[in-house]
Amino acid sequence: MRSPEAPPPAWRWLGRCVVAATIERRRREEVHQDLLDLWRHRREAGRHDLRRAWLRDLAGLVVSACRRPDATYSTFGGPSRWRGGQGGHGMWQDVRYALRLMRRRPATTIATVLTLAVGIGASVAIFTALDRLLLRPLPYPDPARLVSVEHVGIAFGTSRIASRSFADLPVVQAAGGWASGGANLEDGEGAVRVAVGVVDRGFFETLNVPPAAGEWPPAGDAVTRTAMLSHDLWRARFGADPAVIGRSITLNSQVYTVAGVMPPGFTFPGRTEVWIPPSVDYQATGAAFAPSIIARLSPDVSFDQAAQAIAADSAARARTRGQATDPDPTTITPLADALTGPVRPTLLLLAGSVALLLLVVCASVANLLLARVSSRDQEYALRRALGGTRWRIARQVLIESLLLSFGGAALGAVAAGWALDSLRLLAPAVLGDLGFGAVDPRLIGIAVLVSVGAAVVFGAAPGLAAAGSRAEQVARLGRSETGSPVWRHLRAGLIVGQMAMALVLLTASAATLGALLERARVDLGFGRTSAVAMTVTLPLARFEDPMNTVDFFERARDRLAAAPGIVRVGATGYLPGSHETGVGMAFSVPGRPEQAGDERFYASYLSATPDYFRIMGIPVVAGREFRVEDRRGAQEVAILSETAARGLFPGGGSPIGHQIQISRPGGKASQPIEVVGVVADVRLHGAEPGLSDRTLRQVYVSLLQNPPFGSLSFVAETGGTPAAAIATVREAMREVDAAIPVYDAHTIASVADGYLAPARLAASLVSGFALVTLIVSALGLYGVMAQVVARRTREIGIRLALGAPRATVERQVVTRGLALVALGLAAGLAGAGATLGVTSRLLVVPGTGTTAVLTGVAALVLAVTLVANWIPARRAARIDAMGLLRGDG
Amino acid sequence: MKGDHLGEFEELVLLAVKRLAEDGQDAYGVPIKLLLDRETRRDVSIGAVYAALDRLEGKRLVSSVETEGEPVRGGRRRRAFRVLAAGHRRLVAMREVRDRLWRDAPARGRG
Repeated sequence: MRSPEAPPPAWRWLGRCVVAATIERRRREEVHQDLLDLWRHRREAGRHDLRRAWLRDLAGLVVSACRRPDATYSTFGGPSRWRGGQGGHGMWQDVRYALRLMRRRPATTIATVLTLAVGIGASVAIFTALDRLLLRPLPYPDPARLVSVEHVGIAFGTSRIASRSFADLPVVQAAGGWASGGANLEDGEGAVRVAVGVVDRGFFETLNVPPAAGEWPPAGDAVTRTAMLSHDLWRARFGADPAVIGRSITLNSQVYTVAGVMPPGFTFPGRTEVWIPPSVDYQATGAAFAPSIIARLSPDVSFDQAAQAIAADSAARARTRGQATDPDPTTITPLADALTGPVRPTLLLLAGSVALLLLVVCASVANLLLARVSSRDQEYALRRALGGTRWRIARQVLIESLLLSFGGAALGAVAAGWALDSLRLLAPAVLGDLGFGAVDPRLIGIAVLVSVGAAVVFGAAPGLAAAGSRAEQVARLGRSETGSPVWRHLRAGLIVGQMAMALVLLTASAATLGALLERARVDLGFGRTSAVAMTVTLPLARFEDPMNTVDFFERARDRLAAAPGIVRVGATGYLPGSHETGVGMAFSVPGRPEQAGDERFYASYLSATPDYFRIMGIPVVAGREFRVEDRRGAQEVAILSETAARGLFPGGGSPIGHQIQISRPGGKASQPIEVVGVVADVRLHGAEPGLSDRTLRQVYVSLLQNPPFGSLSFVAETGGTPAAAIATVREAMREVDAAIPVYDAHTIASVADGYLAPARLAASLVSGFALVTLIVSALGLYGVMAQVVARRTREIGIRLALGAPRATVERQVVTRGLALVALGLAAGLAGAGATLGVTSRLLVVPGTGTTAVLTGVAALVLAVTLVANWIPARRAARIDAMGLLRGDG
Repeated sequence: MKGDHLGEFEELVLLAVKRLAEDGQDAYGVPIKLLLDRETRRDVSIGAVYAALDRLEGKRLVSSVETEGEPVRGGRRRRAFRVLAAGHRRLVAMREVRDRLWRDAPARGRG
């Protein structure tokens, strides 16, 4: 039998390690080559103890390095690492040695650091979002007593509710209302758009945040135009001048007196810059005003007591109206829950997914570290044989693990900041800057602790085990097998766990993708066009006559149509995706019996100009669009959405040419309006599937006949890029009227994107997590199987040499790996079934196709793991039996 | 091995460098080790050879030059050593000490 011409790879690697640890960098290659030369020389001399001699050479290098700390061949300044010496300087050597080893195995190092970075980055970002949105109390005094109140009429501004006031209940300390909107803040030169909160005195009393300067606006029903400024606006527009209190500002061409400045950070609702009282500006919140009600409970009552008292009051009021029960009882919800309610399911789902991801990452890092440690048996054996202490070796392993953890944590912190930015769109607008901020350093700390904890458990423990007893280690010198069975079982266990979690995450990912697809399938009614939209508010004080608005539109349209790149221009009073409050009206058909109360046919009251439907890509189903002739003085005309047409004209006949009217309180109806067209239903606020018909009842009137008095939104079809078009439109609008600021510029396509954004974010995040988990567990499986094959190389070689068919060998390896996969799938399927239940509840996805999803996901995991399994199996079957047996020396 | 003193192993390595140079071979780690192995019938540690070469260079008894790789199998860049004048003088001085001692030794041995 001939000896191999060069040492086997593991031996060469060991040699490189020793050389790296003992020889200065520029000499290493030379020394390594010398070692190989010696091997060859001995082989040619017919020596049989090549491996022992190789180890002796390595030991000689170590011993020499130990003896002469100042020699140029020695790089670590002393022998303490190898002898297990005392003193703090050894720590630094360990760090340097660990760094060198990390450089030496870039693949595992990068894999470990990246895995950690993904896990830490994703979990820190999502738990930061969770903390900010769901866990952290609102930053107002005694936030636990703040509630949101639904189905209540309370004294609000001048419009007092007839029954006893909700705010007078003993369980309620204060109650108020708010609605968010905007206004034009005008000065001598022009105007800017500012975010406005329309709030009453009770709003300030409820939140109980004292002003930084001045006073809260005065209490009472008197309509006084007073304004509170946000700290930011006060600094940006008024130079933080304390004398601003009592001065006048102009909003929507009306003069307000500044009553006070709120403290920094207070911008509720949303990013409000100015707070004004209700009933002084009917345009600030759009075409209508629908406040949300908040209240502060009395200090001596619990939430449940308050809820009962309020329900009892609600029922009592119903009885005074002659109703047995209140059809719409007043309810309260903790304010924080009410504000974050819409995003709660998504955040919880993401938090659950990311928790699983973190588990998988810990398991996978543990796996990688175990693989690292177990493949270095020889090195530890050598060090122990040379007198290294157990602790010293364990410390070396631990330091290496810690370095990897810190590398992962640093990269993860960067990734978290980036990921948090993408999560920002989940934050409800009403929370403003409250919702988010920078990445929470405490959370990064926690993530580092978790990963370091994993490093300690999975790094130091195997390190100590690796160090073993000296005698045992000496005996291990020269043995070629790597990895002890304990570690292999541990690694196999970790992989079974990972595979189970991959299955669970893939199931969750399938559910989120299903929810996204379902939303994407919803027909929005308008096109994904590159048309641009922007909005103006024409102050009623200047545009009192509705015809002034029509005049403004026509001037702007003519100016825009002349601008380069603008193909056609239209307008509406209410764009899809608008945050303003729209108007609903009760419609009826003249000559038919009128319904009463809630039975009346309520529909969204919208307005549109000629070309509006064409620009928006809203299909005209029957009849025609509005024409320029549909203006004041001509026959009033309307266009119905399909749902409105079906509702007003049941029976399937065409409504074209028929008349409708607006029912007004007191039985009076408007002039008859002729239906001239039917258009597609438009999703005005989102793509949630299964909306009630009510939100799709839409009646458009001709804007030229009935201009809106809230805001006016222009839409423009462009020939060029949207960005250029937006700049053009802005410029043109400034020329039309510099005192009318343009705001909310966007493309129509972005509205459609915005509808899908939260679902898309959830789906891509959960799917991303699932994919990472799948890859990590497949790589883990591959690693374990490759190790199994490597360990049994000699055995397999002998079997092949004795005539075992290669297919049999391959099958045996695959079967062994599949046992792991089967365990993982069994554990995972149980979890995945439960996951489907949870996700379908959270995402309101119909639970159809459960079996199909589980089967598909399991098949995917199986397919991926089969590949991971098959590569080592193939390698096993291709072992060069003769070469292997020859190499046995 | 302390200070300027030349240890026994260092002397052997120095002699090996001198001998290889006189034979027209490059004196570097592996040939030196093999020569010493042969002559001393010991398995000399390659690490010890490197260390000794370092020390000899530190004492300015040998100097090293980088040689370019030869166009043959195993040819590569490496550090070849040669004995400096001070090294020669030291070897001669050591031999004289030994010779003197040897001259006296038989008499004492018989006595």
